[in-house]
Amino acid sequence: MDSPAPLEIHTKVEADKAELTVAGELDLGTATQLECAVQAALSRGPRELVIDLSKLTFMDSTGLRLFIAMYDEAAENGWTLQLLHPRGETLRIFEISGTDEHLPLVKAPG
Amino acid sequence: MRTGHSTVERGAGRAADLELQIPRGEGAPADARLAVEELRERRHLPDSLSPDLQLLVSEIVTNAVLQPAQRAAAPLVLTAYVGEDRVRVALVDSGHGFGRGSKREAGGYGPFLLERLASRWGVDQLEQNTGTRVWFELPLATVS
Repeated sequence: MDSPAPLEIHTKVEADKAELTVAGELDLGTATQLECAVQAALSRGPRELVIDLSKLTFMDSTGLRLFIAMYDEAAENGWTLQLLHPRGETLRIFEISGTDEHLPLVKAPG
Repeated sequence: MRTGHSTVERGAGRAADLELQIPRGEGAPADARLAVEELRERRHLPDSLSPDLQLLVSEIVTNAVLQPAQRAAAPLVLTAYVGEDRVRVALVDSGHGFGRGSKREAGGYGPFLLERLASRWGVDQLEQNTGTRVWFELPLATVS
């Protein structure tokens, strides 16, 4: 079997804001990669962390658990989290699980 | 939850449409998704089946990998049967059982999503405590 498709992550930090764009599949095999990228961005002390999910092609409950933990951490440590533009199946799993009502999702216009 | 024993065939007397040993590890969910997607294409099953099939197979495999393994080397065996009106996917784990924690615990969303999306699902304890089979079925006809 092929190894899992890696998650592609781009990070941009400017002033108080860090923005991560993730593309690919978020699951057990790639979650650690995103966790590390988030911790690296947070080490630069932003007040605001934005994760653009629009290029995520697959996500399962591993992603849900990760974002829930991240949101708890944000509340504890006084920074804000935004999950930007989940689409298609990614948006659907937030909705089916009911986590869309708690997590700071910014839905894509239209 | 609909658990316990299934009355549908478990493939006795018929070869599975997919049978694959998957190494227990972080790459296992992606391996399983790839295998069922290949099966779906090979059997010309509808595209609309793909999202639920991908998600649920990912959930059952993730759940298995995250359980504290009593026998870490015990492989996971993924099987699938394509019937006239449904596809049935099963994961046999000879290492341990199927976790049913709360939603926020590791694996807790798995049962929740199975309950929401599968037409039927269940967990069978294998004979003589030799492991667990988690299975689910999805209809082939589009329901909306």
